[in-house]
Amino acid sequence: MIKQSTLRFPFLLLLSLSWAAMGFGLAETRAGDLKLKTRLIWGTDEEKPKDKKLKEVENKLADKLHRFYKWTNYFEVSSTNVVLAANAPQKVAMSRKCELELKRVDDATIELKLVGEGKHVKTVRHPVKLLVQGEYFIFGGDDKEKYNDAWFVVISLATP
Amino acid sequence: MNRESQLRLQRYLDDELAPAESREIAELLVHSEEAKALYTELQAIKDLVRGNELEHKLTESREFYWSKIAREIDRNQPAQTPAGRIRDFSWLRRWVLPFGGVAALAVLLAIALQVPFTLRSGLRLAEIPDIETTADGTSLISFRSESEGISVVWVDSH
Repeated sequence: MIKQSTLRFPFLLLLSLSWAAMGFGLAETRAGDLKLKTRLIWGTDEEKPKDKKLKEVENKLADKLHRFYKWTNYFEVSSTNVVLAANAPQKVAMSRKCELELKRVDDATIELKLVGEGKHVKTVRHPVKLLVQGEYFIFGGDDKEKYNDAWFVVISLATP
Repeated sequence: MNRESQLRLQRYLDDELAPAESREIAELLVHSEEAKALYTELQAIKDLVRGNELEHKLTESREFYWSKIAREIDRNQPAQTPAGRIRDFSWLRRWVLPFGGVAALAVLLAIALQVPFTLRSGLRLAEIPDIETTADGTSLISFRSESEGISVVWVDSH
């Protein structure tokens, strides 16, 4: 008679491997391809305008923004999924004035270039590993047109 | 007789003059009573000194006496070497150490300028590697919170 504990170990091993495969599959469609999500978020103390199509920011990200920043509400203005392959940089228009350029430098690093009103603002290189671990990379700043509001461009791993 | 003539007379007595000069002094001694008197006096002093010079007798053999001198020279030799070394070290201290200090300060300053603002301000936030910034009139603050899993580049255009 086979002991129950003997069966449990291979089952847990298979389950772990499946989860790991699913996790990596979400991040990497092919070797070198990286599925990312870019979001433009508006930080404000105002209530949600009825005339605009705005989404509530997911709880995990909203909690982090509330922990770091002062604004009462964070609304998702736009969201774009990007498949970032090696040697294939992508440009994402976050708004009329804001553009994000993404590029894979190598297997371990991506390059993120923020362009505002046609002007280069900043380029950073960021480890892919941190995004795969579920971390967020954020460009943020004060809203020039509306006092006491802020904008955030959030880059994270795409979720299903 | 002037002093020069007196000295020449003494050299004549010691047989140190050239033949031509010796003939002149010999002529002088024939005609000058003063020169003759001085010569006689110098001759007497010379004989007196030669005949009464104290003889220094060594209490040990000649070889042992000189070997003691040689050992004393050798013993004093190392004492002079450290003095030379001290002089060399002084030169190093005077020139190399100040330049070394300035170089070390320059390196530390360069490193300090590389450290992002957030680290200098004491926040426990990791560096975000930026490779280029071109926007004018904006200041940028980069930080990362490992515990919160968030990396931020804040663009301040005010």
